Amino acid sequence: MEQLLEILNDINPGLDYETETKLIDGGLLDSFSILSLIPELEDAFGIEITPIDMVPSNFNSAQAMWDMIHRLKEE
Amino acid sequence: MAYNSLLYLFIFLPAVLLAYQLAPKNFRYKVLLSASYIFFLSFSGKLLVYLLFSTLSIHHIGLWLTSCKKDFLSAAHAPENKKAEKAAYEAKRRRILWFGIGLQLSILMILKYSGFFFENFNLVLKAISFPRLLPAMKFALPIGISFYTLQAISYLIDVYYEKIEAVDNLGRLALYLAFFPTLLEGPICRYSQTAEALCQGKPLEYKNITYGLQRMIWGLFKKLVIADRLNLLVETIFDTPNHYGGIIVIAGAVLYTFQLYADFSGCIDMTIGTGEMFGVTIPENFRQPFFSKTASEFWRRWHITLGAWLKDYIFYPISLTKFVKNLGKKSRAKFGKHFGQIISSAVALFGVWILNGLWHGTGWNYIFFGMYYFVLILMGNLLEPAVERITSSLRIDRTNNLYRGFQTVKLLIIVFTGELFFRANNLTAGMNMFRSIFTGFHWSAVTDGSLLKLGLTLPDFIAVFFGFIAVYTVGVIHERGISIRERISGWNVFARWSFLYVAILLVIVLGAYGDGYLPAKLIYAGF
Amino acid sequence: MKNKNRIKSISFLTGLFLLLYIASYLLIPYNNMGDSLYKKANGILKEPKNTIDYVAIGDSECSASISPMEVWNDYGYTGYNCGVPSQQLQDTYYLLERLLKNQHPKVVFLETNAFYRDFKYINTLETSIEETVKKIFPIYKYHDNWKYFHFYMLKALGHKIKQEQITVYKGYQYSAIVNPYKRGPYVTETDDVYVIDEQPLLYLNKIASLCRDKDIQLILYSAPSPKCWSYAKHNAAAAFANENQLTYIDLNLDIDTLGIDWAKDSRDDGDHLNYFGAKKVSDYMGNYLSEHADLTDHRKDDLFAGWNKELKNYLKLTEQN
Repeated sequence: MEQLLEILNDINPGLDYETETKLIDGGLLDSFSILSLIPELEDAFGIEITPIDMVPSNFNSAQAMWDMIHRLKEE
Repeated sequence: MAYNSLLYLFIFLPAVLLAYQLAPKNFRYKVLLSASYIFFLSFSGKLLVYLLFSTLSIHHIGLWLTSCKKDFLSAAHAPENKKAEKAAYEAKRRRILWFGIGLQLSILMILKYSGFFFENFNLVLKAISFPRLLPAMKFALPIGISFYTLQAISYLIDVYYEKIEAVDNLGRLALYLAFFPTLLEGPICRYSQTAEALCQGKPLEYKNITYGLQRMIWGLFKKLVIADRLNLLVETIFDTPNHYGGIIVIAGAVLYTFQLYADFSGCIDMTIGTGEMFGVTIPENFRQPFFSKTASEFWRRWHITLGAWLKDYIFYPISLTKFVKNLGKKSRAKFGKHFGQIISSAVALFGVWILNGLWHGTGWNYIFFGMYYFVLILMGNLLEPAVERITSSLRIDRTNNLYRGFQTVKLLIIVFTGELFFRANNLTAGMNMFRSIFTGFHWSAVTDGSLLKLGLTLPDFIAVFFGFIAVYTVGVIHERGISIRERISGWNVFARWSFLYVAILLVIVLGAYGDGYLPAKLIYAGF
Repeated sequence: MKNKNRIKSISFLTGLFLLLYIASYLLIPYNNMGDSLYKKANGILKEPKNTIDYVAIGDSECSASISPMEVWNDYGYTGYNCGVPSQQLQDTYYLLERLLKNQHPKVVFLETNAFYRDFKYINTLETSIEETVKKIFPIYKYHDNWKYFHFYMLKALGHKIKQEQITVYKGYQYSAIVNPYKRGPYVTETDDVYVIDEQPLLYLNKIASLCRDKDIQLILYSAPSPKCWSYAKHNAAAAFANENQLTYIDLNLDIDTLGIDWAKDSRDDGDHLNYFGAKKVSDYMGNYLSEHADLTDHRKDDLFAGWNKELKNYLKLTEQN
């Protein structure tokens, strides 16, 4: 989880990733940030993100992203 | 019958509301479906076959994808074959999807784009003195095809990604595609957004009807008082592009942008208001776009559903393909994280903008429009870290009002210029008009009365200005998250009714309709 | 719906209708002024009652072909050109109906080009609804008059801008642009008939019967137009004229008598006539009126002094070019 937070702060600093739950719906993370995020996550956690995963509910909070990462790791 | 015609407002809509309410619950969606087809027929008649074909084909393809999955799951798989069989199954599903998408796109492309394609191909043929030319093609387009085709494709892709289940009931799927308020100008809805509310047959409610009507009055105000009035001036300027220059052309671009916004958002207000009356929540398409600070933000606030569609079905899928992912890896290794990311995102971004431009129309000026924003947004992303460095070293606070004001002015200039090319008759006219802003610039145009020779009188300008104040005020209120209708419902009867009476009277009196005005079509219904 | 809501809705609507009536009466008194191209057809409503001897109605083929000042100059008949570009026949019918409330012309010239402009039933339905609403709620029709509330402010402004030369005389828009038609003879006899569609035919019949009821001589005519006219269309119009005992003057068959010179008389490559062509048509029509209609020469009548004044300005305009 710390690793995730580190990556997020690196790509898009200034947001409180620990508590924010509306990263997408609130327009805080735009599609470019997401795009920068994806290769980092794929490399760091050895997962493959596909279009099926590109839903707001997977990216609205750090916790949601973490859950997604776990799910993808198991597949 | 356009949404702002008397026929629609006072005969069609009340009739549908009545029939809907009187029908038994399970039948209500059929009332909406029939009404939608009648609406469609009133515009495009026999061309209904295209809509029906799209409906039937995506229904079939959706169920095919489902049965394909069922077959795969129920079949016995020997462990050594499992991986290969899974790959084959996925390949098959992909083929079915592409077949379905291909069907929808080919209809759209043939009807809408073949003329443009043949025309340009002929230019090439002429240039090489080829003896034969392709025939000039012009097909009649069914109403809403640009909108419902995108909805159809989104349905197929959502079923493929298993975001939704393929629909069994053809009627429900048909209503999703054809719902009459969204037929002319969108918004482009996802199946998961509207289908349930459309089909559940909830009885009409007083609050929904009154709120919906109020929203429609606001939409009518924007369309009739502002957009249709500005139409005269805009047509005068853009129909004779070589005649004007300088301030007049600037006025044309600015006022066209205002007309486009009032027309499109006004129509969307009527659409969403109508949906509300039936208890259907239709997604928003505008969110005070002129309060944006960057071009990217603008396209998140203008024609929101188109941007969302392009993001979900073009931008992300392209960005997540192996090719682009590899490109990204290599570019990041070679040029560093920032530039590498820009390069790989440029691929998907290009796709988005070429499609955005082309979707709006067949013409090089639309392609130019798309590329114009592609370059601007790419540049914006590219220069972001540099801007950040410069402003922090110069101690410029990017959140203070002066800087934000500068950003707004910059954004407005970008948007007005884009719309100049968008509206121009063709790319050449657009270029000429743009150039003439500088070559024909005279400050005197402001005071010598030439602005009053473009089709609008001084009272007209006053009405437009009043409209602008109203739109700006509403924008500020909405930006603060306040719902005007909620507020009004809290007022006492006298205040509330007076407000509504004045609003309705303003629409009737100030509306630019009747003798002396050009009949103005809905702008986006032409796309 | 609960009863309380029902009562609320009905009271709201009743209040609204009352308000609309009151607002109507505030706006009606001001006359429809204005000189934009689309309003010029309504200019006839400005003319004093029962002073117009003949009117010409139709689409742009009409508005470009007859200049009433020419007829006034030669014969002293008062006429008005009420042609509106692209006008559909049903709108022509409603315009005629409206102007006949103020005027009683002895002759109506109906240009035939709009017969072949089809429109769907839905347009008819929409227009009928609009016309009905206009009758019930005058505010819907006169709402635009809010502009004239600030009468004095406007008058002052109007003085500054009016230095613009007037180019519209009794509904005819003057145009001296020459864009020659070069493709030679275009009249080829045929038995084909360009069938007039159901909707235009409906309104054509309505126009004919309206003129019959008001004892007006309806004359169909086709302006010279290589681009828009065809022999098949001639046949359709001639057949209609025959069935309804109406005169049909097809000027396309009379190009030489008229003296039309396609090198000088068209403003857009054979689609419409310019002033030089319109003068010839107007002279022809004036002559026709003098021989086949019982109209009075008003040139010495004081009531029509305004026409003589306008004639002076008109001659200045046309002789300068």
